[in-house]
Amino acid sequence: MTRLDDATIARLLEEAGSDASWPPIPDLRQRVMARIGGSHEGSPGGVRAPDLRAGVVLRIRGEPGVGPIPSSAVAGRRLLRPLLLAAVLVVAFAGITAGLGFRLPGLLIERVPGTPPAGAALDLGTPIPIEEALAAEAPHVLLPSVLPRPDTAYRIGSGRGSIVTVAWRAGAGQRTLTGSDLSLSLMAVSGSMEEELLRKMIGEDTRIESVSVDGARGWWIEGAPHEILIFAGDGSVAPLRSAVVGDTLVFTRGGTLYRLESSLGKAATLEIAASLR
Amino acid sequence: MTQPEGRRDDSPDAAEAALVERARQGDAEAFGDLVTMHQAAAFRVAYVLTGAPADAEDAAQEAFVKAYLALDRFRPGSPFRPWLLAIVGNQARNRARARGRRESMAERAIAAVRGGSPRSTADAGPRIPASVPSPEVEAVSGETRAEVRAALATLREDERRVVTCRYLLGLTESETAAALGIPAGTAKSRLHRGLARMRDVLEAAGATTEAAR
Repeated sequence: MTRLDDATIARLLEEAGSDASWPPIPDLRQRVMARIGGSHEGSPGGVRAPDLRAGVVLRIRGEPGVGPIPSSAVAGRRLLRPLLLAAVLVVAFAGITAGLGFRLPGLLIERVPGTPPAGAALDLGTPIPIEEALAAEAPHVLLPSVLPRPDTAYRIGSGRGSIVTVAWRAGAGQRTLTGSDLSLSLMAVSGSMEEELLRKMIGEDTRIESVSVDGARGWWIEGAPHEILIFAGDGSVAPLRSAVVGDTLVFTRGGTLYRLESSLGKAATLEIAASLR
Repeated sequence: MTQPEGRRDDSPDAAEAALVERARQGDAEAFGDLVTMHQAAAFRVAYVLTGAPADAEDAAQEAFVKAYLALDRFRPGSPFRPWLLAIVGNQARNRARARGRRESMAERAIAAVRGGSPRSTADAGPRIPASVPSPEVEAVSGETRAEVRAALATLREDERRVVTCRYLLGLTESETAAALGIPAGTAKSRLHRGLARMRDVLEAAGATTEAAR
């Protein structure tokens, strides 16, 4: 008997594929055009050449916040005191702004007609030991002195272009970040005006406010959920990941861009940010 | 191996490259043309990965929007479709995981009320009961395809996805790897294993190269 060769099997599969009963192809053009129609003013127009950091290769593994919700009483007690402290402190404020072009090194914030409904939680990357996160030279992660040690840490990419996130789990009764059991996540990126690694897209119902974080410029984004894109690539393909996220403070400190997503409110979040040491 | 009818290679098509460049300059209509050009592949890849037409539609739509917003990260002169399908695959896997989480939460809630243990949450893929054929197997219908369908159903999920993308959807090897988010070498080895397994099943069913011609 003559064995089946690969070409024959391939042909059988291709023939099967050619008359397979796939679901009808939806007409996506109109819907995509409706989504991007008002956004090109601030996005690909005026594009610069892709500036993909070598070595920042994303392969998503970590699934923060998808496991069973842990016993959080301990974390709650640990967070309670600093939050009370934070509640009495305040914040610099620089007025509500609108329009395009909110920027920080490594970050572009832009207004879009609308953001999609909340879906998948933000994939913060591969879980790593907290010691490893804190030992990184770039980005060098500072921790809020008003908070206890983080509960978890994650990394996207490797080397100097990596993005490191540390996070705190919510205590009993505390609000959590969308799709997770966390109350606070602090993402650190080695920011530079020349390299866009994060992009936030905010809808019309999202408020953005210029703030000062310990003397440095920052943006407080709240209201309707907004979307964040994280860019990275290996030079040939630029994977990106996104999620619809909640209230967020973005600011820079010591050449590092920080993104602090928080369920704790603006005042507490700003105080936490100001306490980075 | 044979090439499927109408199959394209990875070399960038001049017309497509022109559309990409116009889109990069902010021409939304040009991007609309790219959507029309690639929506079938995007939707079917998303369908294979999510197992649900509605999820696939949402994932594909979302991927196109994200691709548009990320066009300034696209390397001019490189093929557009693998880049796009990488984003589609990412969106589809996210959506499948989200659905898995929702179902897992629902199962935990039901288990809490009724007692008993929810099933393991270790598998983050789409929740398709074992008794229900995978979407790609289900798509292969017709009496003459029965043996192919049966052989496809015996593959491991990771092998079946590679075989499906490569031959049923007609993607190139690099597009297949990009869509599935795996290295090209991994795609190649899974393809090799998948074909070998199918050969065993088909031959056991009596198929030979001569008979198949």
